Amino acid sequence: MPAEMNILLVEDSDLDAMILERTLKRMELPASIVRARDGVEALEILEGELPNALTGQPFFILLDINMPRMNGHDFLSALRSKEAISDRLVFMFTTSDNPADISLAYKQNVSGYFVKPQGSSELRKVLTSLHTFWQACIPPAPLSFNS
Amino acid sequence: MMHVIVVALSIMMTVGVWLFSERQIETRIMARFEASRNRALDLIVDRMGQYEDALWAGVSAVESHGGDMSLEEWRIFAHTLRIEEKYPGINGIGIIHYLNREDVPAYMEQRLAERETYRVYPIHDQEVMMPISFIEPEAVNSAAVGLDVAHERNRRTAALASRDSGESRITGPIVLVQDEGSTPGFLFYAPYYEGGPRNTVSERSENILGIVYAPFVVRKLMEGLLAKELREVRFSIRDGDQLIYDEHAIKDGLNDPKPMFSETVELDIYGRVWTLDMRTNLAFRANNTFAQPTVILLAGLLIEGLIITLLIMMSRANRQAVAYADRVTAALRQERNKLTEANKKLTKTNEELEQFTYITSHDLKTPVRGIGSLTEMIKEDLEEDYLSRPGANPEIQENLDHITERVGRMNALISGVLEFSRVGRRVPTEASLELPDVIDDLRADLELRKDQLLLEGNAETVTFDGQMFRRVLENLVSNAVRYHPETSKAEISISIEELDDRYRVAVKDNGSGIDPRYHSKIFGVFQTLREAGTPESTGIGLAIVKKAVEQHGFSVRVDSTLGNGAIFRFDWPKQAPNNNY
Repeated sequence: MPAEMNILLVEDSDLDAMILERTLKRMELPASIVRARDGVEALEILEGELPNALTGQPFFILLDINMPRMNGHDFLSALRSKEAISDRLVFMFTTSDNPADISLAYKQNVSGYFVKPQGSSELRKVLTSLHTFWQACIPPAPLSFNS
Repeated sequence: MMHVIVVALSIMMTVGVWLFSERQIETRIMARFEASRNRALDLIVDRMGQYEDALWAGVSAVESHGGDMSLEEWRIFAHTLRIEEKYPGINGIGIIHYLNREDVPAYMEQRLAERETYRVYPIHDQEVMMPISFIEPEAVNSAAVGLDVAHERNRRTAALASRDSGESRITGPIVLVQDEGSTPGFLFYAPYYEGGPRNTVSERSENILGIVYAPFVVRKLMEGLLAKELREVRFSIRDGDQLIYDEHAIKDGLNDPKPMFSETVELDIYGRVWTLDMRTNLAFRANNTFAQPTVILLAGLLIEGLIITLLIMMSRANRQAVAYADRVTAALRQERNKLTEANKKLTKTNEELEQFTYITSHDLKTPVRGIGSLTEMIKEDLEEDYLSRPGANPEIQENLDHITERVGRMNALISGVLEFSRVGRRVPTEASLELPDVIDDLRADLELRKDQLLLEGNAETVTFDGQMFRRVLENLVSNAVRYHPETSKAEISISIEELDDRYRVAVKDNGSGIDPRYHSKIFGVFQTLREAGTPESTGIGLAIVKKAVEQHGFSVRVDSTLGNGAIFRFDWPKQAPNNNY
């Protein structure tokens, strides 16, 4: 039962990332965020090729869909095909409410699909839910990077 | 080509019929000629037979008088015979006595006793004398009385031949002494003997007493035979080299210079051979010129001409029609290709447009949400600090709220556009929809009492594209509620009737109704009859309804007047149509 929410945020929008961090901070939830700007960078982090703060920590991934270089769906396929990291817990966090996107994401075994809310109160609800879930859930084992 | 064969066959047939009819007619004419020819020959032979009978009658008369008749007796006989009536063509009938030189004195005595002027002429040195003793009627033949026929070879030869054969004979061509015209003639002989007919030549020459004879002028004989005006065949007669009768030379306008038929016939007649040159005349030509074959040929050729003309005209018309059809077809094909091309372009453009709409609206969401979030942050920060101060400008708070509100509306619009564009992009499914469930959901979502939303009609389930059908009902019912002047009194009924191939749907409300002049407008994108300001009113709902219904090949219409509520009617398919979307 992890005390702190360790999040790998895969998000190209600085603004969205800032809003998320700010809201978490204002909610005074214990959390730490490692940010990747797209799928490629996220994979590099997960495979220990970039320095990060996730080593040895339980964490989950918040994943956007529309991103440069490698979008969310492609990242998910790549993730699930890599034996060492295919068990990661992933939540979708995206502007798209397209049923096709939702279906595709669940086919890649995401744990939840959140449409980015319009207001901060809605965002707070999402984050509260995530926190509650995180506290009750047993995540997959932390990664131990070789770096 | 068929036409050529038809024409060729038809010409062959015409010519065939023509040749056949020609042949037929020719055969017929030939038969007629033969009949005419035979009739003329038969007449000659028959008449000669009659004359012979008359001669033998003379022979019988002489023999019945014991081989000798007086002038008076012969006159009675000849008168009784009535030769002028019974034997037209005959010149007369007489007796020639056969005399050896030693018999002459007794003979002369007998003759001179009958008439004093009698004498025999001409004098000749033949062994025998054959003077003409009597000839009746004498008036026309007086020149012949006393003529010794032995003096001249033709007369003598035939007489001796008649004597030796015991049969009747005619002479070769001679000129009768009594014929003033000096035209060809002959004598017809029949011998009589002492004691009747004799069996051998020697007996005959020993016992010969005389000859019953008849002189003939050939012209007269033939004239008595058959009026040549009534004949279609004319002839000339030769005896040896001598022409004894000739109708061809007669210039009466009936001779045919090129006779249709001519024939030379040899006739054995009483010891002579007559050569008859028989020719058809103009009467025959007139009676046997048949226009039939010519008419057949001409009519046939005329019909041929018509057929050929018709075929040419038909072929020309056909060519023109084909050419015209080709032109029209080419034009149509071109037109169709253009249309196909245009359709392809339109489809592509449409797809691109929907893609564009989807992407832009999707991409718009991010900055809009950013603006909203930033506004909220500013508000949060200001609320903690500046706005809580007593002298704070209240307009800042209000304007920040306005931004939030506008951002909300913008979001709603973008979502509407996204949904609208998705209607065209999605593929309908066979997923069915349980209608009572939808009604329950709608009541819950729109906070309606059970009596405010009713399901009518015989359908319980919609079997095709249930997901979109639900969206259509949601849009219509939420519109009815949203635009109702007093939501708590809104009453909506959904009627769904199942027909053979479709559902017939009517959504009826008791709202304020829609002015008919807006009926066509309300189904357009972003068309709303309320002034902008309410966040929910995006004007996209009915556009989605229309697009969804039309995607399935039907149309939606509204029946409404101001103040009387509205009924939206449309049909929905029961299964996927065969054509692709």
